[in-house]
Amino acid sequence: MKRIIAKTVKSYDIGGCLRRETFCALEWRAAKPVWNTDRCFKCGVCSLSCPDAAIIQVDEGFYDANPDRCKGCGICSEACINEAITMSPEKK
Amino acid sequence: MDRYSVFVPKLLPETELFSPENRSCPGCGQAAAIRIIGKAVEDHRRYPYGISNVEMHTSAFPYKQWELTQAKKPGGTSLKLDAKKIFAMAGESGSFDDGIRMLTEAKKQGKSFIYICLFNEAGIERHREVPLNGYHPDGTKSFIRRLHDMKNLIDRAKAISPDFMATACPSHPFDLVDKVKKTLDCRGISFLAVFVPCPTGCSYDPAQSLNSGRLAVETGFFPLYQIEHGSFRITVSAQSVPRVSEYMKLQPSFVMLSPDEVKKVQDAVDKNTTQ
Ligand code: SF4
Ligand code: SF4
Ligand code: SF4
Repeated sequence: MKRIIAKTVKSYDIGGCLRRETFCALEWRAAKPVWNTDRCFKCGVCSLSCPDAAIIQVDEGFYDANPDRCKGCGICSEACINEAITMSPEKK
Repeated sequence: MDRYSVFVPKLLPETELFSPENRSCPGCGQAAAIRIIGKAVEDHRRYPYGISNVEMHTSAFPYKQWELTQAKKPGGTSLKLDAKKIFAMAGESGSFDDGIRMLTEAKKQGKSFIYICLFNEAGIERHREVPLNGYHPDGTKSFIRRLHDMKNLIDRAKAISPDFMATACPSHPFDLVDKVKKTLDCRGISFLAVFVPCPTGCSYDPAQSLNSGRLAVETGFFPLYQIEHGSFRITVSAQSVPRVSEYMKLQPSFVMLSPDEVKKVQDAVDKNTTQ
């Protein structure tokens, strides 16, 4: 599986006692983007418009959101010219 | 689908200098802008970056969301710089004065300095520095004030005549990348004003964030242009959506305006774009 993932960003090591906490937007986001692969033609505009760089390339060049990073804003579904992305509410 | 020939992964680098795990709100236009600027900078070792309020905007205290080399360590010791060029990125409020002062100083010393100023859609209303000709008499209409303040700030940067200056918006990412690359290539001082939509500050749906930026550009509220060694060029044609009300409709704080007031705003925008 080919993935476009940001390089790991180092944290300040202050006194050696602080650890980078894990960031998980999955716990609090309101909706998640769902891709319709029939409509997607792999242009990548969605991955460019995501402010959190959550969208990664998965099998066969299609795109998907990293569930830990996606904050559920819905910009990607607005940006897609072919309406391939729908936002589905997260069940709590 | 042959008619779509734009394939983003082939046009822009995969590197991310700005961490995806930043602490900004969902749909933050500022995060989108910084991410795209990071893509344009590409190699962070060549361009040391000064710590600014943008760093605080996106990180919880001890963590760092940047892959950029810092010009100054948090402890206060300056790193030895072999780079000829420094770039600073900051908001439009308190640090604007510092940015302009740095630009003037760099110009005096013949150094290369880039100042990228992020104009927050909501913050611009509450900024503190004094515009060139004070507040507009129509100050109660915050929208017009927003327009004039933004123009005043850009005029102040224009007054020190940078070698390259431009306005940009993350809703037009390729235009933004192009302009950041130009500032990096420019030998003297350069100034870039980036309009960033802020869904939390203006309380609209985060999904509309980049649409808001697009409408601001297309209605002429924030025209995109560049001034390269004195030659002026509009890079994205404004006024393709003629009514500024389209843009104001997005923001709940302006839905109460009467048609007369909307017309007044439209006149102000028209006057701004024709200048
Ligand atoms: S913008 Fe739409 S069509 Fe393009 S890659 Fe994303 S989902 Fe597919
Ligand atoms: S919903 Fe927002 S954060 Fe999630 S993938 Fe889409 S643009 Fe990125
Ligand atoms: S308040 Fe506005 S600029 Fe600040 S993080 Fe939220 S959306 Fe971004």
